[in-house]
Amino acid sequence: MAQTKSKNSKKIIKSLKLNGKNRYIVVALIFALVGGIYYVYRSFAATTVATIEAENMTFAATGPVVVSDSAAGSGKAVKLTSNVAITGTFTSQIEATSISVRAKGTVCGSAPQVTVSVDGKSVLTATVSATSYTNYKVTTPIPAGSHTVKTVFSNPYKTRKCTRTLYVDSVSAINDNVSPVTADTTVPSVSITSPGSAATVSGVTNVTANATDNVAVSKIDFFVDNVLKSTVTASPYNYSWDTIAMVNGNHTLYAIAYDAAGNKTQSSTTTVNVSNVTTADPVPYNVSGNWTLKFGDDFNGTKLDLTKWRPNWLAGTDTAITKPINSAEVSCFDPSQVSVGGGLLTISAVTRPCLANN
Amino acid sequence: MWIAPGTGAGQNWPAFWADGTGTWPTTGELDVMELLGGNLCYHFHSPAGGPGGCDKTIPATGWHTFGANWQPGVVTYYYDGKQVGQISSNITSSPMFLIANLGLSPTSGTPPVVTPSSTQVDYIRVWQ
Repeated sequence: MAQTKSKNSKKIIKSLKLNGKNRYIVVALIFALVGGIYYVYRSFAATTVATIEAENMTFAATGPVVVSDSAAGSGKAVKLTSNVAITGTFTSQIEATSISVRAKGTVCGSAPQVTVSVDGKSVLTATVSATSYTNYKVTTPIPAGSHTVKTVFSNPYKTRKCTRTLYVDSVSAINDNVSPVTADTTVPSVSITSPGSAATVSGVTNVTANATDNVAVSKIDFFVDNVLKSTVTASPYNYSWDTIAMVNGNHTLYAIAYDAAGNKTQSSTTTVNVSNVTTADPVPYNVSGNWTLKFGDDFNGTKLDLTKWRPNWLAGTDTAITKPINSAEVSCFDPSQVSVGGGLLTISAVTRPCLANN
Repeated sequence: MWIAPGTGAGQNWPAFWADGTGTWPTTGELDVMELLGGNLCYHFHSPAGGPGGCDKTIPATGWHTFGANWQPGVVTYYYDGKQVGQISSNITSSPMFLIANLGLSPTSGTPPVVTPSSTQVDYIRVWQ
């Protein structure tokens, strides 16, 4: 019974230890979560204008050591155990408003301390208590241009049991007032919503499209049989398609959506059947009866239809000029005075010598 | 058919008519419209004469539709869908050809001669 009690006590103690560890982990997670929110926010609002990887900086041959570290920005960091400066130069196209050093440390007695100077002026001193890479940042104005940055491990310490160590991953200049510019490479999506595929359409048909984009749709081009027919720059994306002039039968529709960044997407093609009722032959104007059109000319061409007409007065050829046909007239009939265009036959008279050749 | 405006009612001698394919006037002449004295006029010529008339209710200038219903023994004339005349004697039945023309005459049609001048036609149709 006592042995059992002792085992139970050990279980309880073990459980308490676990509980204590769990509480610590929970607290740490909350801290990390708050910190995470802070850095996500900062990274959204700010733009890194320049970064120097520590391993690319200049330092003494002895002391600093470049180490491989998958957690480091470029897979490498500089390990410092002595008070040796590492120096580098960065150039920024725009001004920076703060400087940040990404570092982690090994505590020995106390945490390592890092100082950062820009152009000889100390701007940042941080105690690197984090054992994983963390950004230590300070607000300081840095104009655009080339600058020298120096990082120093200012409190090296070593005992028989431990060595205070500073790992520097990189130093960055940041502009906190400029949001990062991210190229929009997301293409819009677009589809023809009406008419549906294989629909039968006639007359003036409303063609509608739906388009979306991660930023905004700038315009939609509507195509009929691969020919651009309409451009719409704002929703709703509609095109009134007059099918009267189309040949009855299948025709294709598609739309191309664009965004301001020039990304574009072509919708799938919708094939529709145009079916317009053929207009019946016209009938005599207000003359009753059952009529069948036997002859007609709407003068829709570009020249007189010589299969139907003579351009002069029974002349031998269609280029001959006919003299006045009776004593009352002074007019010759010249084919050059007859024209067809714009849906009309035009017969014009001018004054000039009548060079009749008939 | 478009009749050009003149100083008064139209100018020159535009006409839309049909003429027999044989000897004139034996094979007939059907004048659907000719501008005479500034008026829209119709006639039918045959060996017996050339009866006809002019409509003075329709302004002569501008666009008009001129038609004639040529039936055996009778021709009815329509201007802008309105019956303006009918001739029922000495109507020939020989084939005719259609003519649209713009004549110039110092004495006939609608003098004086005006140039430049033109007439236009939107369509010409024949039904049976």
